[in-house]
Amino acid sequence: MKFGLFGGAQAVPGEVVTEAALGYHEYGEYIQHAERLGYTSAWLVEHHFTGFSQLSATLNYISYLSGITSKIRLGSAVVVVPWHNPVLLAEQIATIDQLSKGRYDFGIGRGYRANEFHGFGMEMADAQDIFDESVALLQRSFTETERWSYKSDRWTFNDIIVEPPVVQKPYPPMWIGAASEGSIRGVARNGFNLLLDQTSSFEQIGEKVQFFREELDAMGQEFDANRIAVTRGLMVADDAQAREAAHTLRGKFLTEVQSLATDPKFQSKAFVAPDRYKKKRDPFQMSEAGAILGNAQEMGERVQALHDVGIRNILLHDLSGSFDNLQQFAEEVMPHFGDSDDKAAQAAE
Amino acid sequence: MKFGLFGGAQAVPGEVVTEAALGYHEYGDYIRLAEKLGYSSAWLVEHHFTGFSQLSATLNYISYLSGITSKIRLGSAVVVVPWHNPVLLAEQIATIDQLSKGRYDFGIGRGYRANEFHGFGMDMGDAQDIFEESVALLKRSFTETDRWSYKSDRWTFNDIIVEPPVVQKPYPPMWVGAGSEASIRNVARNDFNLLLDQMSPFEAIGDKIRVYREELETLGKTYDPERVAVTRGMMVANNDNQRADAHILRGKFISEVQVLSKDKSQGPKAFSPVGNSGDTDGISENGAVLGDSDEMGERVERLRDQGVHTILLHDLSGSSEALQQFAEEVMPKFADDSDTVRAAE
Repeated sequence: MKFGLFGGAQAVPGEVVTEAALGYHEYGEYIQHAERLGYTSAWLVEHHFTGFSQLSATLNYISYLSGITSKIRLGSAVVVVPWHNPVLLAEQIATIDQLSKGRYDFGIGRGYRANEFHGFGMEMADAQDIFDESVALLQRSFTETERWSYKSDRWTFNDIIVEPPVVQKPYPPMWIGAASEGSIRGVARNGFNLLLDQTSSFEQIGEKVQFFREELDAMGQEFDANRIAVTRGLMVADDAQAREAAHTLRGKFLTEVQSLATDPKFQSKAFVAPDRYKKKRDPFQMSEAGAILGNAQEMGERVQALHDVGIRNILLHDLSGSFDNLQQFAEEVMPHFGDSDDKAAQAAE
Repeated sequence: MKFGLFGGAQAVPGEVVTEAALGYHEYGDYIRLAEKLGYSSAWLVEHHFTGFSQLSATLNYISYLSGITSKIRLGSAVVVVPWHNPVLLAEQIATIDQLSKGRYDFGIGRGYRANEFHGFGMDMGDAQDIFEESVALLKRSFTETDRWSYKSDRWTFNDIIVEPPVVQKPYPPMWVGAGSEASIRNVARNDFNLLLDQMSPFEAIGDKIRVYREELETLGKTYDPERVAVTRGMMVANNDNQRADAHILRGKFISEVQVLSKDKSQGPKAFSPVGNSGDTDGISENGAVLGDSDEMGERVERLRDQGVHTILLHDLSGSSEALQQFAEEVMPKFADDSDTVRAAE
């Protein structure tokens, strides 16, 4: 079983509870600490124009992390592809793959926040088309070794060769976040890896894994649990008081994410709120039913519940940014899930 | 006097002599060594579609350097503004300014290579207009604290606030490369700092600085020599053999840059930042920081006499020993009061 991190940094601390508790440099130290403790990956968000000073140039932040870490994998969760020129994006990704020596996981999305599309002067209705076109251009950028040209209504490129080369061939693993059955099956059909959300219950996660597996089976492909990662709130709470405090903090965050995604002043006509935001859900229940919550023993049981539904890679998201929590989980929970595969692989390295 | 570095890295070594002798990680080690030796800045190029695997995502490379260094300033030389969405670019710049704790120098240009414009499907005739529009948008992104909107034929932004904030206020120093008298005056009029080239002879550098100074003073602004940085070839050569080798290496580089800029197949409006002279030895003899420590010192002295306070050294050999020799045997002769102040900090 693998344990990674999910989160972000915030250059200027503010009142809004974002996924980031720490500043840009503090969060770098947090990830260095995680690397020493045996966490296997760190995934970073990308947000624009929020007014909370969240990570916007995520690929620059990941480049920075490439310099201050040496083993932990680094992922974007996710780069919103439609904002970017696909060739400049491919150059950034390949550069990160070089700088990190092949440790990069390329999480991508088409975007879902209406205010971001509005900010960039784009129609949300075009998101899927742009995404599909750009992903094809990214894949071509990574794999073509001869000069090539391309022309569409959106992009023109002439006699280009995209450099540097990527380290991971044919390109860094591409991960896509998906929630609905239809989109999960789409991820499988398109050959991407799957990022699952942090608010579904354990049972729902099991169903989602099943959709992905079924779709692969239908195509005659073998299911590989390493192609799925699920984000989960990490709420270390050794007593009732700590538990309540963790619920209060996480409750604020969940409420804010819901209101950001559904705030009418950010809506364009084309925007359809994802299913998970259509009706507001009770944050307390969400955490009780889906977070890695409690003392070491309870957290272990919750990890086991995820393991039982087929999960092998959990990305932990601790809103407190606590180094102690990171350490407690690593020392008291992780050792119960060191399986023979991991140990054999580590020993062989 | 300040001494920095100019250069780039190359992910895959090739036969073409580029400005980069070292790989991405080796060059990081080289810059760390430079930091220890007292060099004050490192400036990195941006190139696209060359086929030599040069630095293309320069701002990502500088982000990486932000993590592995702590004192040396980091600059782009230069980010070609017209390729970039100005708001995404502003976010990258501000992020680097945060990551480096205010050590970033924002070198920008409008681009001069026809094949790059062609590659991005853009008309080189639009470069200046796009550049000016984007620079205005960059400045606005760095300084606006309320939400703002913008609409032109090229860009639409609605209710945005560009984050994170920059560390250096109002924004990181903006540097523009210029060669001709008209373009140098233009740099002064737009209140940018000035990057001068690595090929002009020492005397021509003096002329260029005078033009910049004159234009600033005409505008009623105070001239500050810290606003000018000059790139120079560094060719450490302790004997005749080494001198001949250094000329051969640098000769190849100069010829290749000239060819790249003039290649007719790459477009009709070719412009060469290194001139068209076939006498590459002459270019270096008249303008490089060349020779043994004594001679290099004399050459630095000549630049100082022309009013230069910041030299960006570009060593095609990528040699750590050369870096060290210059730092230990030449730099100490030029330690001035401002350096003493820095040392006391």
